[in-house]
Amino acid sequence: MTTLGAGRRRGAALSASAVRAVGRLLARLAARLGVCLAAVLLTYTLAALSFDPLAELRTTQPPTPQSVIDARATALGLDLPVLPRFGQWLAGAVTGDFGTTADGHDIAGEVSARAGTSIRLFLPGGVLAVLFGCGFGIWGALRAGSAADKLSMATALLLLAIPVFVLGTVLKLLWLPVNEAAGTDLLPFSGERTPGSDLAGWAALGDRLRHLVLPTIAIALPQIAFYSRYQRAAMLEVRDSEFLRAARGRGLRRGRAVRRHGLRMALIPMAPLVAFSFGLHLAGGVFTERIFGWHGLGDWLVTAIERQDANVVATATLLMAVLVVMVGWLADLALLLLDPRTRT
Amino acid sequence: MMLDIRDLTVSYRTRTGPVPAVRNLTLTVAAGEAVALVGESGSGKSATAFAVMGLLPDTARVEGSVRLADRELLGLSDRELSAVRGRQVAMVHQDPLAALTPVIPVGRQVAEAIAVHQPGLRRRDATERAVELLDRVGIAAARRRAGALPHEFSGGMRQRVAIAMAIANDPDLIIADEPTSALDTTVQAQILDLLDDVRARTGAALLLITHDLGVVARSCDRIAVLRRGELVEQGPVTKRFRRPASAHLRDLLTASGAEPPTAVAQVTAAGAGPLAAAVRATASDVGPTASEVEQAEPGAGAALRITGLRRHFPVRRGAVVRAVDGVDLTVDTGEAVALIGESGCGKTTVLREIIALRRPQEGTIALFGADVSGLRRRDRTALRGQVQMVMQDPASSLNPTMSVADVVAEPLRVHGWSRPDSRSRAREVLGLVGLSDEHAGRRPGQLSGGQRQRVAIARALAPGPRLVLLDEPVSALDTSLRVGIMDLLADLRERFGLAFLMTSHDLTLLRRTVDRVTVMYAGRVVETGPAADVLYAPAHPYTRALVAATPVADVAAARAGRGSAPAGEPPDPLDRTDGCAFRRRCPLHRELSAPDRARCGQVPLLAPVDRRQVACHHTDHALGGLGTHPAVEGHPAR
Amino acid sequence: MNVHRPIALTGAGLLALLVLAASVGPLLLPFTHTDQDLRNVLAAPSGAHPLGTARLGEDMLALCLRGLQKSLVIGLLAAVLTTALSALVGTVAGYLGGVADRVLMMVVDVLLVLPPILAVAVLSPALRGSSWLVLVLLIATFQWMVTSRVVRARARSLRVAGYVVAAENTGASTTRIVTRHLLPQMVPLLAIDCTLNVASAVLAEAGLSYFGFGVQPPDVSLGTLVATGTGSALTFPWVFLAPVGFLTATVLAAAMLGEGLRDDA
Repeated sequence: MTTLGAGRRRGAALSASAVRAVGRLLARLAARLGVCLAAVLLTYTLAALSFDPLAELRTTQPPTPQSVIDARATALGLDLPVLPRFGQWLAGAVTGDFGTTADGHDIAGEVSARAGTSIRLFLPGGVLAVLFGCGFGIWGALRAGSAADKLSMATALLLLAIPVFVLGTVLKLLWLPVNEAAGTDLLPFSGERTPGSDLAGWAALGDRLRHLVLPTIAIALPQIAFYSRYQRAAMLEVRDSEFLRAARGRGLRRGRAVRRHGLRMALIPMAPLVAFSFGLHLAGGVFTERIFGWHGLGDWLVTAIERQDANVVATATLLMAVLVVMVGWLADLALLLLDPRTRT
Repeated sequence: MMLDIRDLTVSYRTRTGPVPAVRNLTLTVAAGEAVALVGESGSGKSATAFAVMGLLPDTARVEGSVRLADRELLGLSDRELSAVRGRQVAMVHQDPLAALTPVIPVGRQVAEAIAVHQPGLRRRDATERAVELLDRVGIAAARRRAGALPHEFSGGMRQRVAIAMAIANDPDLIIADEPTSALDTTVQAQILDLLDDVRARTGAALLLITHDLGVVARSCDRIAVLRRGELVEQGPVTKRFRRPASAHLRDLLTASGAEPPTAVAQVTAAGAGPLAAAVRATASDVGPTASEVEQAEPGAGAALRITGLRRHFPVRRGAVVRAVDGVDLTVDTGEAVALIGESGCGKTTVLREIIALRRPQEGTIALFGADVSGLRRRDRTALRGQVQMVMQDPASSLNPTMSVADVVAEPLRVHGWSRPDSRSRAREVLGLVGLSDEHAGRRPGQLSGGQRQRVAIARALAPGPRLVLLDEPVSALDTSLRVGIMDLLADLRERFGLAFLMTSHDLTLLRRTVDRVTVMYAGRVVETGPAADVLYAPAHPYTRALVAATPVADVAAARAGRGSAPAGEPPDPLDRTDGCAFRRRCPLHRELSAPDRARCGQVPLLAPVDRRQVACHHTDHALGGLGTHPAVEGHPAR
Repeated sequence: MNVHRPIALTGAGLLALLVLAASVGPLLLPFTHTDQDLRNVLAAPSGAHPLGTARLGEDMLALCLRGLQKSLVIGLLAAVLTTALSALVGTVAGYLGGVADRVLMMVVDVLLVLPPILAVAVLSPALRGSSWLVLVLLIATFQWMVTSRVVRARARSLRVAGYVVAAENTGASTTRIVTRHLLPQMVPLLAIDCTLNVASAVLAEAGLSYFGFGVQPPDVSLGTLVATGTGSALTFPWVFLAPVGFLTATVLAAAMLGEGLRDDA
C-alpha cells in the first residue's frame, strides 16, 4: 500500500516537473526566436543601407530615364523606410513568400533546395564534431599531461589556426595524389553528386556519400578541435572535484566513479557551448560550401551579397538563423536531460 | 588497534619542489574510540585523513605505514582499496554540497554506496535500504525526499545524507573531516548528536578532524594536536584540556575561551532553571556597565538609533525574502553591541542598511542624532567618515592589486584628502594596529591572515570614525589569532571612545568584549539586554537553545550539552510565518497548554523583563517562574 | 599569468619573428612586391625566388611579407579595439547590472547569431573604395561579443568581492570603483583575450579578403594572397602554400601566446 501510494505521488511529482520542463523549453524557444528575428532585422537593415540595387540602371549608357529608375525603385519597395519594408518582407516570409530576387525570380522556389543542401552538409559534420570533440576532450583529460594528451592538444591548436577556407583546399591537395593514382575521382572534390549521372538506389547513395567525405572532414575537423579543448577543460575540473573523490571514498573504483558521477557533470557545460558557437561554425561552413561547390545557404548568401540582392540576403540569413535557433533549442533540450537541476 | 598510523609523511610535488604536509605522524585509534585530530589551517589534518583513505591527489607522496585492522593500506591497488573504502572505513566530508554529485538524486547515491559493496543486491532492495538509512539519520518523509537532488536540501540535511552513506555498510571507522564547520550552531549540535547516535548503534570508531576545541570536548575521548604537519601533543581529552603539555594547545584553549567550568556548565546544562538566577546574579556582579546608566535616558548620546527597520528583497515569481522585518536597535556613544543569530537571521543585512546611509525601505536610521533619510549629499559624505565597517574575510576585503598603504588611504582619498596627507595618516593608523612602515609597501597577499585583518581595521579607523560596524571580524581567522584581534579592537575602542556594532557567532569571544547583546531570529529581535544577562542567563527559548548549542571547550559542560540540540533548522527566509517564527522549533511551545499555545500565533513584541527586553509571550515560563531576583531589583522594568 | 611557460614563450618568439620579418624583411629583399620578373612567371621555388613567383612573376616572399604586414597591422589594431570595447561593455553591464546589463547582453545575443564575417560582408558594397581602417573598425564592431561576456562574468563576480563592497561602503564613486578596483583585476584577463583576439581578427580579415570583401587590390593581405592562390593550388601549390604558411604561423603564434598565458591566469 505504501509503495503504491509512493509510486503515485512520485508519478504526480514527475509529471509536474515534466510540465515545468516543457514550459521552460517553450520559453527558451520563444527567446531564441526573438533573438533570431532581431538578427535578421539587423542584417536586413545593414543590407538596405549598404546595397544600391539601382546603381546599374544609373550608370547605363545612354542614361536610363529618371522615371524608369523611379518605377523600379517603387517596384522594389525602396520608397518605403527600412522598417516597414522589413515588415512587408517578413509578413510574406511567414506565409512562404520570400519576395523576388533583384532580377525578378521568385525566391521561395529555391529555399528548400538551398536549405536541404546545407542541412545535408552540416548535419553529419556537426554530429561527428560533437561526438569526436567530446570524446577526444574526455580522453585527453583522463590522461592529462601524457605525451598523447599533449600531442592532441597541439594538433587542436594547429587546426584552429588553419583558416577554414584553407583547410578545404589543403584536403584537396592531400587527396589529389590518391585520386590521380586511382585514375578516377575516388572522393570527388566538387558538388553533391556526379552531375548528369543516372545512378539510382544504392549506387546513387554511394555516389552522394563519396561526395560527402571531404567536405564533412573540412567541416568537422575545426569543430572537433574547438569542442575537444573545452571538453578537456570541463573534464579536468570534474576530475579534481570533491564529489568524485567522495564517490571513490564510498568504494567506487576510479573508472566507475568517473563514468557514473563525472561524465554527466563534464558534459553539462558543453550544451550551452554548442548552442553558443554554432553560428560561428555555420559561418565557417560558408567557405566549405564554396570550396566544394555545394550550392547551400552560405553560397547563396555570398552570391547575393556580390549581387547586392537584399531579399535573398534576408532569406538566406533567416534560414541560417532558424538553423541556429533549432540547434540552440536542441542544446536546451540536451541540457534539460543532462542536468535535472535545470528542470525546476 | 583499529587504525594504526606510523611515521606517516605526506608531501606534495610542486613546481618549486616538494612541500611537506605531514611529518612523521604516529597516531592510533582503538575500536569504538573517538579521537580528535586538531589543528589550524594548513596543519596537515585533512592530508592525514585522505592519506588513510588513499584519496590524495596524484601529486602527493606518502611514506610510512597506515594499518587498518592489522592490514597495511599504503601501497594497495585501487581495486583493493575500493573494497576497504566505504565498507571498513567511511568518510564524512567538510562541505556536504561539494561531496554529493549534484545531478543524481540523493536516494540513488545512498543506494549506490550500499550496492557497490554488495554486488548481488537487487536494485529495489538497495533503494529500500537507502530509504531506511535516510529515515534513520532523521530525514523526514525519507521515501519522497530520496528522489530530491542535493541542492534541494539544506546544509544540515545534506550532512545527514552524507552520514547515511557513511554508515551504509557498518564501517569499523568513520573519518569526519570538519563535518560541522559549514553549519549553523544549532544544526552543528544536531549533527554531532547524530554522529554520537550512529556510533552508539554501530560501534564504529571515529577520527574527527576539527579546529574547534568545543567540538572535541563534546565528542571525543582522545585528542591529537597537529601543528605544521607535526604532532605536538596527544592524550585523553579530559587530561590534556586540564593540563595541556604544549604551548600550542594552551594557546588554542585560551583562544577558545575555556573558562572556569562552573558557570558555563550550569548554564548549558540547566538552561533556565533555578540555577539561572544564581548565574545571573554572578553575571551582573561581574558586568556593571556604562550602558546601564546610558539606558536610563534613552536616545541621549545615541551613536545609532534604528526603529522599525524593514528590508524585504523581491525574488523571482513574486516571492519576497523578509531579511529584516521590523528591528529596533540602539548603540550608545562608546558602547559595544553585538548582534547574534544564525545565518539568514538578517544581522548582516542590518549592518548593510546602516552603512548604505540611505533612506531605508521602512523605518528610520539615525546616526549621531541625524536621520539618514533627510541627509543632503554633502552631509552624507561627512557622515561616511564617522561610520566605518570592517568585513568578515580580510582575504577578500582588501584589493590584491593595491599596496597596503593605498588600501588604508582609500577612504581618505574618497573624502578628498590630498595624496601626501592621506599617506601620512595611513602610516599613522597602521601604527595604531601594530603594523610598521615596512608593511605599508606590501600587497595584502604578502601578509598573514591576522595582519590582513589589522589592515582592514586600520582602513576603518583612517577617517576617524565614531561608530564602527564589524561583520564577523574574526570568524575567517584561525582560532589562535582571534584573541589578538579582539583585544586590539577592545583597546582601540577604549582609546578612541568608539562605538561598536558587531555581528558574531562566536559567543565565547563576545562574553568578554561587548556591553550589550541583541539576538535576532527570522529578521526580528527576540531578545536584547546586557551581555552578561543574555549570554549567561538567556531568557528567550531561542537564545537558550543557541547558547546551549554553542560548543564550549570544557569537557564536563560540553558533554552535559549532548542531546539537547533544538529540533529543526534555521527558518527559510522565503518562508513567511505569521506569529512567533520560532514556535515550530520551540521546546517551550511544545509544553504549553492549548490556550497558551494559541498565543504563539501572534507576533510577540519585545517586552521588558528585568534589565532586558524579550519577545516571547511566555517569558514567565521562560524564566522558570522565578520572579525577580534581588540582584536585579534595582533595575525595574521599564 | 606566467609568461615563462614554454608554449607562451614559443608563441611570443614566433610572433616577434613575424613582426620583425614584416617590418624589416621587405627592406632586405632585392625585389618589392610589385616588381615583375616576366621571364619567371609562376616559377617554382628557387635560389632567386625562395618561395617561387606569382602570376605576373612577382616574388612570392616579397608578396607574403607585404601581405603579412597588412594582416598584422589590421589584426593588432582590430584586437586592441575589440578588447577595449569588450572591456567597456562587459564592465558596465556586469557592475551596474539591471537594465543596462539586460540591454547590452541582448545586443550580444543578437550579434552572436549573426556571424561577424557575414555582417561585415553585407556592409562591404557600401565601403568599396574606403580605407582599410574602416575594415579594422568593422571587424572590431562585430567581434567584441565573446570577450565582453567573459569580462561581464568577471565583473559580476567582482561586484560582490569584499574589496569592492568595502570601497562602496566608504562612498567611492562608480568611476573610482571601475578604474581602481575592477579594471586592474581584469588586466591579465584582457591581455589574454587581446592576444586571442589578434588571432581571430587576422582570421576574420583573411576570410573577408578571401571573398573579396576585405582588403582591396592593388593592396595585398595574406587573405587576398590565399584567395588568389586557391585557384592554382592544385597546379602551382607554392602560390597557395606560401601565404597559407604565413597566415597559419601568425594565427598559431597569437593563439599559443594567449593559451600559454591563460593556463595560469
